[in-house]
Amino acid sequence: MSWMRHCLGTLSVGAMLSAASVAMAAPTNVSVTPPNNARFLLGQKFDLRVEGKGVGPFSATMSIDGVAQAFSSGAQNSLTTDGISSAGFGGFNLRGYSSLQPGLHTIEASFTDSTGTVNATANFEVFDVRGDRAGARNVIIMLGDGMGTAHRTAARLVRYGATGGDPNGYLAMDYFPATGMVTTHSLNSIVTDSAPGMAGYTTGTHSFNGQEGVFPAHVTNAFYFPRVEYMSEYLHRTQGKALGLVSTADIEDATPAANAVHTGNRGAGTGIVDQYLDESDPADGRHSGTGLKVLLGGGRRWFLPSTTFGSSRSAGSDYAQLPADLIAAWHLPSTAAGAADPTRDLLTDYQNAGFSYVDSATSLAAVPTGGKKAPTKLLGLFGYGNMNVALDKLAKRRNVLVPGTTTFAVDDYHAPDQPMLDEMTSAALNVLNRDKDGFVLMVEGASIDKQSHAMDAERAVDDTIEFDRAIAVARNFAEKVDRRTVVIVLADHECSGFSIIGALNGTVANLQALPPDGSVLSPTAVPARQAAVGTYDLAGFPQYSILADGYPSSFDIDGKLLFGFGASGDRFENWLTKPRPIVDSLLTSSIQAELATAGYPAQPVNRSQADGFFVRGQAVGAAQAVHTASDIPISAYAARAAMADQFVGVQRNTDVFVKLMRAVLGGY
Amino acid sequence: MKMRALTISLFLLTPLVACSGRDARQALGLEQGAATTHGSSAPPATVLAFSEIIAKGPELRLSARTQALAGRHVRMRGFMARLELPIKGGFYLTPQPVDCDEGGGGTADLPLESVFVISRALQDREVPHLRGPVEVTGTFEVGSRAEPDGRTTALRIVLDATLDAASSKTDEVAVANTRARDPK
Ligand SMILES: [Zn+2]
Repeated sequence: MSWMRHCLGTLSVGAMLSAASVAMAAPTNVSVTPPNNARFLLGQKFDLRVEGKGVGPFSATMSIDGVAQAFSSGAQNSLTTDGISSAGFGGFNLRGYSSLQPGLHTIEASFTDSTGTVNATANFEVFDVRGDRAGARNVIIMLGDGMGTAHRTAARLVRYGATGGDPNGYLAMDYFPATGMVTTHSLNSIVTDSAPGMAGYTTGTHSFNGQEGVFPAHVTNAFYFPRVEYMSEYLHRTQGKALGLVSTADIEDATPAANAVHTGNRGAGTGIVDQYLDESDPADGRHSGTGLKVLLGGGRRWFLPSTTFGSSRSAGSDYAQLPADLIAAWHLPSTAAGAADPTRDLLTDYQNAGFSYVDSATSLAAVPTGGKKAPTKLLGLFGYGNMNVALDKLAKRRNVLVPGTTTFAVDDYHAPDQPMLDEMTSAALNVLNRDKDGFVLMVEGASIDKQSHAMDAERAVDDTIEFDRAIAVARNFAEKVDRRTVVIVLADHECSGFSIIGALNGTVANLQALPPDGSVLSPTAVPARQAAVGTYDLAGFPQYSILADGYPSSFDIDGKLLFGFGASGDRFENWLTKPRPIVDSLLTSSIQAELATAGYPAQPVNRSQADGFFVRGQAVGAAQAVHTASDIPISAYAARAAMADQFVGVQRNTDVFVKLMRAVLGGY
Repeated sequence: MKMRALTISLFLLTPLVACSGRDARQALGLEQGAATTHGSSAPPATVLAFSEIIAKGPELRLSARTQALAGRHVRMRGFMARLELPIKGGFYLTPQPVDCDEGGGGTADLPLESVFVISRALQDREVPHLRGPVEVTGTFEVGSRAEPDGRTTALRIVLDATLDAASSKTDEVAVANTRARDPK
């Protein structure tokens, strides 16, 4: 992951620059945001900013369509300008701008330091998607992080199998009537990470890798960046809709945060979980904020005061007090101004704001779904960091250890009773459906991506099946409970170049009996485990045994599916289910015995280095597989077919926002 | 073989591990084949197991033994977590091999018992990742602390400076030398 490097790059993306002065020197890095060719919904708010680097004092001008604009912050002809610009930079902001005039608009700006002036221009477009049709009351975004076409195929083949050229059954997402393709590029790269990936769908604009709900800038705190309004904020402000965020990841993670939090650093966990609450509009004034009412996932570590064991809160990942013009222009309450407060007891603050709190599958299942005791806001934190993956949660539920382990992974992570994603989705819908104004719900199958990074194919596929079961819950809601609902299923990007390369040519017992491949490194030697890959005809039609819980009893069946990774790091491949969600453990048997004596979990022989064959990483070395630039599939369902049909064809990621807003505003 | 201005010493487990180990060795300016023993002149250390860190019982809190060892010289064995977003000047020691992707600030997959191992000699550099178990010896620190990069750590080991007279600023990370103990 390289977004940290990108964040420091030049910001004048697509903006046209010209030196207006004849002076020899001139300010550098002059830029205007929003970036050139950004698109906004009619009335959607965003911040404009002119910045540059040079020798102060600094001043700037800005006009839109030839009409001079006053900045909301940035003292002219001063060294400090807006007080939030990075060292060497001057910055001038116009916060909370919006336009009610559809069409193309032109920003003309100038930035002056003591050595000269540089001009910059950028265009932006305002679109109007209102229409006469009945708008969707609810929007459900099912986001399979890193889920490409092959992940979907793999989940279908494992869950249902195939015979004589046809699948024996189909996933819930396969039954969605409208399917298309989506580009996944970010503002600064063909390969995105989850922050701009998700934010493209929820803001309609591109952002830099590592950043969500903001445009790039040089400012002193990650939460000071120029903002762009989220779908959740726009719909809460204009229609009073609620927001629900459900993820199997640490809830701080980029995908959920890119629905509600404005930050230039997706890793700033303390500030992110604070902002979820502080800008949730707890007073329900409906002038600002996201209307957040459901937050379910992992990440309890960010909600505990830093002085408590298990906390990850820190001042360095928090926000300092937000600028006054930002607070005013976005109509935020003074309580949203924020402070660097690592010792904040956020769990208590959420409960004081009306959230019921649950911390296990058992307590989630016990949440009343009707009557006076049913909560109107729900916080569920089921792990300290990321929740465990389906394969490891199921091992505990079935009380069957993953072969090669002596303990359950969920116990090792001190979260023995974690819900499955379909249970979380049901609970979220129960709460949100009590809101008469409708809702936006984002449900993330997070570890499809995480396990693809780790090149753990079995865990990635099991999590895709888990995600599909959550999709079935959403589809049922849109079909049977509230037919004014649009549901889309998509990914933010593909991860790992995941592919189904064939199937094991033989039995697992034979595979385990193969001679070790660990030292087979000569290109002229064929590792036994490479020869065991059945390609083409030899792959046949693998059939897995599915238990009553809806998941395969084991991935290690004779003739099992085998997977490859086109964007891989180095790995040792032995084709067997990894005992732990880990990188190759590479332990010799003598070390295993020693660790076992010392109280460490015994490492299985089948993960030893001597066993698997070495596969040189194609994208990186001794590191994780990476995201790819591939398009991803999107599938849509709505009771009104025209609403879903919009998503057929090839589309940009930012178009998804436009189409969802068309669905809500009746212009589809 | 004498350690020369040693920063990190590695003992390679097997030839394949040596692939990554050699890179690490070169990055650290070590000669190939360098190995070290750390027992002879190092101060005595109490062995702390990961299973002892958290108190038994439903409530999540540090054990009395963990708290009693604060400030003491301890030795721990575990694995070096592999992070997608590398950290300078240290690494996380974990009870099992762990792979952290970019999510959650890059630390969302670390078990709670993880110990942040601090190398003063490498404070401006990344510690190259090592496969397989590592053993560390140093001064144990207990209590929440904000690191310069914004992380918060609860448990830390500050690696020993080696007693090599040639260098007063050297740390020690000894990969468990199991080959020497192999019964064959
Ligand atoms: Zn990822």
